[in-house]
Amino acid sequence: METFIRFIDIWKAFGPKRIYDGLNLDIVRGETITIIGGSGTGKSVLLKLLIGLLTPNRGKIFFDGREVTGSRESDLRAVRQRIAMLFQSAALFDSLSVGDNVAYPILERDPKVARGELKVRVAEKLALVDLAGSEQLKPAELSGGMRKRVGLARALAMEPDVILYDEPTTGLDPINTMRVNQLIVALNEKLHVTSIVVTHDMESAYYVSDRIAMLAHRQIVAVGTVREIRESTNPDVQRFIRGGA
Amino acid sequence: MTLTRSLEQVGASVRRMIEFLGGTATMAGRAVVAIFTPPWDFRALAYQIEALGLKSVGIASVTALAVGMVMGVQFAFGLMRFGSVMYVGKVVSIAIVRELGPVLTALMVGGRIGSGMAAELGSMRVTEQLDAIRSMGADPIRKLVAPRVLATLIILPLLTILADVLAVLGSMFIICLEHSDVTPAFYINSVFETIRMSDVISGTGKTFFFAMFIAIIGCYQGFSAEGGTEGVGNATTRTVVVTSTSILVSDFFLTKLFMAF
Ligand SMILES: Nc1ncnc2c1ncn2[C@@H]1O[C@H](COP(=O)(O)OP(=O)(O)OP(=O)(O)O)[C@@H](O)[C@H]1O
Ligand SMILES: [Mg+2]
Repeated sequence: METFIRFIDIWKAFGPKRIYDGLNLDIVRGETITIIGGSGTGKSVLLKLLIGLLTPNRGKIFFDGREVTGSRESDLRAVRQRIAMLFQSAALFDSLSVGDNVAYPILERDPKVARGELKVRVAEKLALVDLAGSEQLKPAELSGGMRKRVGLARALAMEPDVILYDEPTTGLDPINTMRVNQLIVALNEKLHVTSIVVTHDMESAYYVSDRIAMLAHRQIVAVGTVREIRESTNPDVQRFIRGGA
Repeated sequence: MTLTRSLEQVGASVRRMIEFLGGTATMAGRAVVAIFTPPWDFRALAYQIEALGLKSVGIASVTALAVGMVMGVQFAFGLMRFGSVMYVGKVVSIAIVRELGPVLTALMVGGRIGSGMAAELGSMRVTEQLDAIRSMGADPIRKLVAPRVLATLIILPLLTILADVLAVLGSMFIICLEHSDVTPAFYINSVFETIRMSDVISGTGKTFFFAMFIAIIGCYQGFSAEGGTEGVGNATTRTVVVTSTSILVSDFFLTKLFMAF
C-alpha cells in the first residue's frame, strides 16, 4: 500500500479562529476515504489545502511524492490538473452555459481539442449525472441539486487521478443520491480514481468508503475501515454516527 | 489607552495601504506578463471590448457634448469682456484636448466599467468561482484580468478622442449659434491652427495610465471581495472612490510628466 497523499502536522487558523492543531492524515493510492465531522470543523478547508487554494500556517502536504505546500501558484498547475474538486457550493461559472462549464477543464488542458470530440465528451459527462441534453441551460436556471450534478460532471471532465467530493449528495433526491454513490464506486473500481469524500450522509459514507476519517477537536481523531469506524469506541465517533445515521 | 488605540488604527490603515499598493502592483505586473505571452484568448478580448467599450460610447458622448457646450457658453461670456470671442475655439480646444476630454472620459467611463468589474469579479470570488478556476489549473489573472486590462487600454484612448471631437463640435455649435460673426469654418480653422500633435499626445497619453488604474483597481477590488454580497457591494463602492481619486491625483503628475517631453 503506497501513501499517495500525506498531511503532516498541519496547523491552520483564520485570524484568531483555529481550525487544525497538528492534523495528520495519510491517504493510499486508489482508495476512497470519507472525511466526517461536524459542521464548521474544517472539512472543506482540508480539501482546499490539498490543491493549494489555501495554505496552512505550519506543516507539509505531499501529493504523489511532491510537496504541495510552499509550491508557487504556477507550479501547482500540474498538481491541480490531476486532482478534480467538486465544490460544496458547486461553484459553476454563472456566465457560461452548462455545456461550457463542463467543457472548461477539457479546453484548459487541451485548447486545440476538436469541436466534435469536445461535444461528445461533454454530453457523456452530463449523461453520467442524469443531465443529458442540458448543455444550453444557464446555471441560474438550475435547481440546487442540478447545480451540484453539473459541478460533478465538470469535475469528471478533468479525467483526474484524484477526485475531491465536497458533499456530493447534499440536496439530491434518493434516486440521484444512489446514482452518485454508484458513480463514485464505479470510478474507483474501473478507473482506479483515488477519492476523498466529505459527507454528512452516513449511508453514503458506508456505501462508498474503503476508510473513514473523523475530524474533531482540530485533529483527525479516528481513522479506519467502515467496520472499524462503526465499531469504534471513540465517543466522538459514536456520537457522530449515531446522530448522523 | 486611547493613544495606543489610535496608534493601532494608524498602523492598521498604513498596513492596508501597503497591502493595497503591493497587491495592485503585483496584479498589474502579472496582467502585463499575461498580455504579452501566449496563449491569447481573442474571444475574451473581443467580448470585453464590446462590453466595456461599445456600451460606454453613450456616456462618453453625452458627457463630452455637455461639457463642450457649457465651455462654449462660459468662454464666450468671459472673452466677450476683452472683445475676443474669436479666440474661444483656441482656448476651448486646448482645454478639452489637453485636459477635460481625457479626465472627464476617464472619470465617467472609469466609474462605469471599473465598478462593473469589481461587481462581476467580486461575485465570482464570493461564490468560489475564482477558486474553481484555480482548482482546474488555470490562472484567473490570465483568464479574467488580462482581457479586461487590455480592453480598457484599447477603448479608453479611443473614447477620449471621440469625446475630444464631440466636445469641440459642441462648443462650436453654441458659439456659431450665439455669435453670427464666428462661422463654423473659422472656428474649425482656429482649432486646427492651435492644437499641436504634442497636445494630443499629452492628452491621450494620460489615458493609458488612467485605463491601467481603472482596470487594475476594479479587478483587484473584485478579487479581494470578502463576506458575501455585502462584500461585493463594498468592493464596488470602493472602486469608484479609489479610481476617481487616483485619476484626479495622477493627472497632475502625468501632466507635468508629459510637459517634460
Ligand atoms: N476563507 C476563509 N476565511 C475565513 N474563515 C474561513 C474560511 N474558510 C473557512 N473558514 C472557517 O473555517 C471553518 C471551517 O470551515 P469549513 O468550510 O472547512 O467547514 P466544514 O467542515 O466544511 O463545514 P460544513 O460541513 O458546514 O461544510 C469555519 O468556521 C469557517 O468559518
Ligand atoms: Mg464544508
